[in-house]
Amino acid sequence: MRCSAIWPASKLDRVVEAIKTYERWGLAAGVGVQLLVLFGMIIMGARKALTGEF
Amino acid sequence: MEKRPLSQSLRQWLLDEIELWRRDGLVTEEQANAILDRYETSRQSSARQQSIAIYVLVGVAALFVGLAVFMLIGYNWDAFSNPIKLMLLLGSVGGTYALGFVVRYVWNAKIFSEFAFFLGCLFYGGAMMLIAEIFHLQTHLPDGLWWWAVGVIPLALFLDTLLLHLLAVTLLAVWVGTEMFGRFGEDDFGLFGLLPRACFTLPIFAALGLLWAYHKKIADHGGPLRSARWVVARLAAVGLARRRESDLLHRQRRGALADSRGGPCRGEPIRGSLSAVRRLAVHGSPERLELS
Repeated sequence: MRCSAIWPASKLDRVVEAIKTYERWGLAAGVGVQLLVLFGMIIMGARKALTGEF
Repeated sequence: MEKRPLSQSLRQWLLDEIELWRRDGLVTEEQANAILDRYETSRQSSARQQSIAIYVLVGVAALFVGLAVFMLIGYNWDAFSNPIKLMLLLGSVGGTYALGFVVRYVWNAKIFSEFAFFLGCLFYGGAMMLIAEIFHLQTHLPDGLWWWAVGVIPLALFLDTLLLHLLAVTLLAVWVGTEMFGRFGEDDFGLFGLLPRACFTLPIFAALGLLWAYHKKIADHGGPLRSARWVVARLAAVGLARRRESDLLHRQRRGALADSRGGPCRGEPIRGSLSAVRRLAVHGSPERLELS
C-alpha cells in the first residue's frame, strides 16, 4: 500500500500549513510546556522540603 | 519558480548529459536551456554551501556558548543560595526564549532565532538537571532525558530547523541507550505496568518523524535526520522488549530458585512472556538457565 493511501499528501499539507500559520502560538506553547515542567519540578521539590523529606 | 538545489558534481553530470542529448537531437537548444534553468547555477550552489557552512559554524558556536554558561554556573554553583539558583535557571531559560522571539518576530532574523531557541533548549535540559540536584529529586534518570526530549519536540516541529531535530534525535537516542544498557533503578514510568518505561510514546515520536520525512520526501538535508527518529524508535522498541524480557527472566529465576530450595516463593509474581517460558522449558532447570 502506498503511503499516500494512508495519509494523503493534501491532508499533510494542510497540517503543515496550519503549523506555519500558528507558528508563533506553537512556539509559545512549546516554551510553555518546558516552563511547566520546570515549575512542576520546583513544586515537587518544595513539597518535599515542606514535608521534611529534603 | 524556485530553483532546485544541485551539487557541483551533479551539475557537471547534467551539463555533460545535456550536451550529449543535444548532439543526438533529443533536445533543442531552447529545451536544454529550459532544463538547466530549473536548477541553481554554480554560483548559487556555492553560495548555498557557504551558508550551510556558516549555519553549522554558528550552531557549534551556540553549543559552546551553552557549555560555557553551564561551566560558569557550575564553577560558582556553591556560592549561590537556592532561591538565587532557581532565579538564575528560570531567568536563563525564559530570557533566551524571549531573545529568540524578539530576534524572530521583531528583527525578522529567522536563522539567528533558531540558534537562540536551540540555546534555550540546552538551558532547559540543564535547568531540569540542576533543579533536580537542588531539591534532591532522585528519580529514574532516563525519565529526565524523556522530559527534555518532550520539551524540545514541539519547538523542533514548529521551527522545522535542523538543529532542534538533531537535538531531539540525540536526546531520544541517549534516552533509549540509557534505558537499554543502564541500570538506573527499577521504577516503571509506564502504563499501569503493562508497558515499561514510557515505550508507549515511541510510536508517537516515530509517527512525527515519519510524517515529516514523508512531507519533505527526504529531499533536503534534514530529511534523513528526521527519519533517523524512526530508526531510533525501532531500536528502542527492540531494546525495551529485550530489557523487559531480561527483567522477566530475572524475576522468574528468583522465583524458580526459591522453589528449587523448597522454601516459599519469594519472587515477584511473573507476568506472562512466551519467550521467557520457552527458554525456561528449553533449559529445564533454573541453574542451567542462570548459566545461559
